[in-house]
Amino acid sequence: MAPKGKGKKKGKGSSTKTENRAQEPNCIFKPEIISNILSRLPLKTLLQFRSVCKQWQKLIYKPDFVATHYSHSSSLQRTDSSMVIIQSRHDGGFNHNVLVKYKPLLPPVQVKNPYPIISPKMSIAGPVNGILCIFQPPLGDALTLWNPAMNKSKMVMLSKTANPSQKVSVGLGFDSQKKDLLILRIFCVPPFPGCTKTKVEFEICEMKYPIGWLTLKSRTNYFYIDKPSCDAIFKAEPYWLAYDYEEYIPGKYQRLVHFEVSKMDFEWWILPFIGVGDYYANLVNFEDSLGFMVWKKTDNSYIDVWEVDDKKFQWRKKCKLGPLSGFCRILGCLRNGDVVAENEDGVLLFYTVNKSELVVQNDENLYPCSVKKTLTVENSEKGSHVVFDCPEGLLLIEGMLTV
Amino acid sequence: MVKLKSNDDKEFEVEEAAVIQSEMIKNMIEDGCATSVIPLPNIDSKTLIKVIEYLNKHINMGKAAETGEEDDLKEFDEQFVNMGWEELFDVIMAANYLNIHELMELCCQSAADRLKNKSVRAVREMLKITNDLTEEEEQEIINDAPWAFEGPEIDDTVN
Repeated sequence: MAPKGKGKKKGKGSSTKTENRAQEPNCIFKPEIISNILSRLPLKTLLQFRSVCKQWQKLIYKPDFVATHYSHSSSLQRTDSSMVIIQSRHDGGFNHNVLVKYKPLLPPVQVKNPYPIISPKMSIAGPVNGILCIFQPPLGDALTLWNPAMNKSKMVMLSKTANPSQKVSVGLGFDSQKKDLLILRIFCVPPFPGCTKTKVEFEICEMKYPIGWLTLKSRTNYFYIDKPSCDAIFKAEPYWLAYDYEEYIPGKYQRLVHFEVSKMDFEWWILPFIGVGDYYANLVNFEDSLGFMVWKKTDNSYIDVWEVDDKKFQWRKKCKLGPLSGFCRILGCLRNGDVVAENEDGVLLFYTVNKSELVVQNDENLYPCSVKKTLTVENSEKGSHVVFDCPEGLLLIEGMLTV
Repeated sequence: MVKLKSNDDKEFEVEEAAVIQSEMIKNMIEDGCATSVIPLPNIDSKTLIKVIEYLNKHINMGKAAETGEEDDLKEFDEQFVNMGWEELFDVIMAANYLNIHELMELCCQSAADRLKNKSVRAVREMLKITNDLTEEEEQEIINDAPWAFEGPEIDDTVN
């Protein structure tokens, strides 16, 4: 019968897989059904279940399985797979960095730092498919890939070519065709009065096929990035808030820059007009869309969340969050829309968005927020916190070792 | 109406709008292969009744969001998967064979939820898998990530 044959083919294809099947007359269920069920399990359970049988042990490292598992683990419906990585500087004479793993409902735990050098400077880009990239600003060296859920890391060799700039911004991406992780280093040359447009140079390294670093020049883009790492990662591609090269005013971003993996080049569009005066901006992964958050600092701040309308390719205001009070600076937000901020005492505040209390005001959707949780990272320096919403992923890079 | 026949020779009449949620049957109808009774040699009548119950309830799923019946469907789904382990697996195999995507999602998620806190021994028994790893190999797996084997108590029951 035709449909049966079709079913058997599903999830198969390579010759190595048929081999596994031959070894496995012991399970009465089809491999694709087993794979479907297991891809929904938490990472820790999967690591235990490697000892069920040889087939399961191999299954959980297969690229297709890793990708399906991550799509479940990073979905908005899954609350148990959410892990927040908090980076902060240690308060004390010797200024080194502390990494804390925080799974809501469980107490936060300090984790072993995979960063190989004791340097006061440390920055993080990511996550992409459960992987974070730690490095040293401003040159983006001592690059270390880290999978915090699997507790494994690896240092990446740098390119031998001379760096044409004093500043590098690091981004991460994932090539879904090749199923490979990409590291991106953009050489950022700050604009100076009377400067002319120069094309942005960058280099890229694919992890699976270690041909080393490839130096490229962007075809059409002129922009300047002043931050050591990408501002957000959306659909496994990095995004930055950037400046127009010729109209550089520090703090006033004009562009949203995006690295398109399929084209191996940058794309950009103009940020929405948000008026004059002092405002703060964050780029975030907000409820399965890319959100541009803008707010002014007052006693009761409201955050405007903008998103790009995919079809019209225009910005539209998605919603307004607030009022938020008692914070000093906003660090970003979690996938579910919760806003993370820090107060004057260095305490982290997790504001939850009360979806059920929606108010429609001047055609805008306003969601009231309230502090759901506060968190203090022991000995951490005020104002040094950075947060990353990091869904658990099984992706490992060849050569990764236990931290 | 479309007629389905289980492997224990029982016939069931189902509305076409309901039955085409099965990609397999939809294809058969489109290809003109569903003129009389569709035999389903892999599915017994007990399982087929469950599947049909699901198909009938989800007949207008696209409209549910508009009419505010989403909560009702959610409740139905929760009740629906409240069945024994063996029964659940029969439904999963039927949903896989008939290629009913939403039902597959629902039941596989339920199976995953049940396996989540089980011991390795319990999992092998529930899925009828024989252990083909040597003791050394098992120890290697534990040594590779010992932290994954620590923590809350593990459920050794098999239901």
